[in-house]
Amino acid sequence: MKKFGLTSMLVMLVACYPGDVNSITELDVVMTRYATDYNFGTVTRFTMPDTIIHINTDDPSAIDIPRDNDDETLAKVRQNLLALGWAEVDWDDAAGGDPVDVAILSLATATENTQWWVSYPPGGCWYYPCWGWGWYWPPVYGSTSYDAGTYFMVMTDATSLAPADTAQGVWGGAVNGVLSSSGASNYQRLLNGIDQAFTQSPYLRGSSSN
Amino acid sequence: MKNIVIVAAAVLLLGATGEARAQDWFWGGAYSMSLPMGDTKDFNEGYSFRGVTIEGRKVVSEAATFGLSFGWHVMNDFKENETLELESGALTGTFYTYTNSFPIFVNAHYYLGQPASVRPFVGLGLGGMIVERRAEVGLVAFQETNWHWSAAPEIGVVFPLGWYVRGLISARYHYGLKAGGAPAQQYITFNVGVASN
Repeated sequence: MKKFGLTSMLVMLVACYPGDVNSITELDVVMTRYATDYNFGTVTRFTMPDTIIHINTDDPSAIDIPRDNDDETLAKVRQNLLALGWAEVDWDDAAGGDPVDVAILSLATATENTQWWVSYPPGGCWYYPCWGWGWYWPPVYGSTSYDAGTYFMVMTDATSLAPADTAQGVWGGAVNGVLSSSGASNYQRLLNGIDQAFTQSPYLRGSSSN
Repeated sequence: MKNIVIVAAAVLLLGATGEARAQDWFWGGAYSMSLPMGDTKDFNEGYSFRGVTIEGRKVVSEAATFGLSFGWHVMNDFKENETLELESGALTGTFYTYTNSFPIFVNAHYYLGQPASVRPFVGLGLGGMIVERRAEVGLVAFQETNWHWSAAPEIGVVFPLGWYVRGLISARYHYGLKAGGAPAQQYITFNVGVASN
């Protein structure tokens, strides 16, 4: 009953979607996922590297991500982790054997996206062969291009860090949005997104929701 | 909305044609405003001014008609910084939600009063609604379309406007059983239109 071919196609042809995006911030999305069988209440120590890993850099549509705000971005992640009551262990010390419960990696990617469109603008013509109100010919066509970026936080159970390819991810946060021409605006939206990722993850405090 | 205007114009044209062909049929079109209820309201809250209903009613006696009804009712909403809880996580963003409902009913109506006078009526439609529910967040859209078996009781009044034309005002409650992944759909349309016979 869910799929009924022709009728569904007709619906898609005529369905109406009123409303417009008024601000680029309306396209921002923060998504978090977690391992439901992991007990975050046992976590007391974390570690994180002082770098953001850029991924998908070989993609033809990839664009360079400036590193001007990397330190502040990582500081925002660290601030939220410390606010959970967790203690930080230096990355090198953790690698040297100091015990930690979880490790948090930061990753980022940005791509240029292009969409082609065609439009038949409405209008009137009062001469042969198109008497009356209708759609102008020829159509207007063009392309729209926008840059979109995603910042990822990946938390892994540090007890399974070696070997790395079997590390168990226990929490992940993604901040996704269309990048504006203002680097300052993009940066502030990213910081807000990082805060939101932790806000919508109360189980990190070891509450009963996990 | 432009499409709705086109459909409404087509309805009026259809009505005029129907008038010439058969005197025992009412042909009508109405502007329909929707008030979502229940899970439909949870998905997109607020009164909607986008909708149209067209119908034909065959006169079987002075007090009764049987007929068909088709509609297109659009409801939409905008929720800023909304957090959607997932099975193992959460999603926060600005949600644009849309419900496009296309009810198709076989219906019966019973009229009080005398022909060519102001006539209150009650009616019941049975059939289904094709309901497309769509949610957009960020650059992603989630959408599903289902056929909901439905019923639609209605109350209203028809009144003479002159010649063969009548005015029509009604309120119709739509209830569609849950289908696919969608919950039961329900909303009331308030209809203002014209009919001819």
